[in-house]
Amino acid sequence: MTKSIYDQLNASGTVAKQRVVETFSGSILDTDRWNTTFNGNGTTAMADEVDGGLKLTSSDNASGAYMINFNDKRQYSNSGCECIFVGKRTTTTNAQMLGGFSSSTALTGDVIAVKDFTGNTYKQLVYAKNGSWGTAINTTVAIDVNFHNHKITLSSSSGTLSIDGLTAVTNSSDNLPDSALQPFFYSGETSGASASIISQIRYMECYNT
Amino acid sequence: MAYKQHFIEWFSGKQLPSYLVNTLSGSASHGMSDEIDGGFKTTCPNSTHGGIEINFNSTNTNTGNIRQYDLSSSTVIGVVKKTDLPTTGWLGVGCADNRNLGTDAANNYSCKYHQSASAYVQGRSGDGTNTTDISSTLTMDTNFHSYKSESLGAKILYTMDGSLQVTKTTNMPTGKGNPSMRVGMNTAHSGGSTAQIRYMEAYNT
Repeated sequence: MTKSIYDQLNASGTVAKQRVVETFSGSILDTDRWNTTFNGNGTTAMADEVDGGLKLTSSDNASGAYMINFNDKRQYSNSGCECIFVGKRTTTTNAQMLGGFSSSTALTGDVIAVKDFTGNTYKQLVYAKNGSWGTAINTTVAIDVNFHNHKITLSSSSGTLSIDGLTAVTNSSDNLPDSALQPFFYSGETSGASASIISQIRYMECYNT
Repeated sequence: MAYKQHFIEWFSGKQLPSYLVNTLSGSASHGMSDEIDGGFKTTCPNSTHGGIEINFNSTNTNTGNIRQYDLSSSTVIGVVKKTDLPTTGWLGVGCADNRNLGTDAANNYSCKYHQSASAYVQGRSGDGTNTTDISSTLTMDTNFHSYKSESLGAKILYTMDGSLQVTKTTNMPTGKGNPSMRVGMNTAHSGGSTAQIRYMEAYNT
């Protein structure tokens, strides 16, 4: 007997909330779903690599950056949502990868995300409210260029990041998002030097709780 | 058992996927909603029998139907809401053999709102000649609900928010169909009529 995916994801009698699942597999990025935002051009392309997913390459301009988002279709609740993504920073110097939720396509409003930055020792939970960034929280996971499973859980009172299911850090003090959110993934330059920055993502799932 | 056709759509992202085509009768508005849990929002035109439908029809004519689902052995689930309740408004989510879920002559099945016909959500099916409805005990409102229609050949089960509400054994559809969500009106109403959908799943059984 064929079973519905709906009944496997939702308890009987519940009305499913908003959800999206993206596997970044195919010939091109699904541009019905995803909007691209960039500083100084850049590209997205499906990687011709085993488990490569989507490759985001920023321009080689100083401060070049490339992001995928929902073009401000903000269907996820700051008072209860989760984002799971499998991604990595690929470039080894002067680079950062960000992924999670944002209220804007320019990261100028509310944000909660994981950050892997070559200037840091550890991966971090970062967050902002109305453009005001809180103090980033270090995880115990060192920065690297390997794929990891990142999970962000947001409520009205806290935001938690776990990586590969083994570690978790929580912010429950300040600067938590207080408005509706969209998923995003970002690859950017950090030094002001001229270099293209590559990050990759092969899975993202977001849902309201 | 070999995998059968199965479709799932979350209605989350920048815009409606291009494989889900809007079939229009008159001008209408639609787009992905910038609302928490808002899904896709569509408003039918302000005209008699104005309607808008999302389905797999590629040409807005019945020659463009892409029908991969067995109307006598399939299930369609939708999480939808009628955003407003104009007195002549209509909302359906189900499966039909053409591009118009509301046509009486279609082979079809759906859960539906039809304000001028009943105060209750209904289970509907048609055999290509006649289409009939049976009312549930659930009154229509403007909240999201889950509607599941299971076509089993000799009967159709209509489950609403997890509760089996209607079992229908008359006017059973046959042949092939495509999943559809339709919002429309019987007579003109200022501002049209609006509905939203944030989940659709269809599969053969």
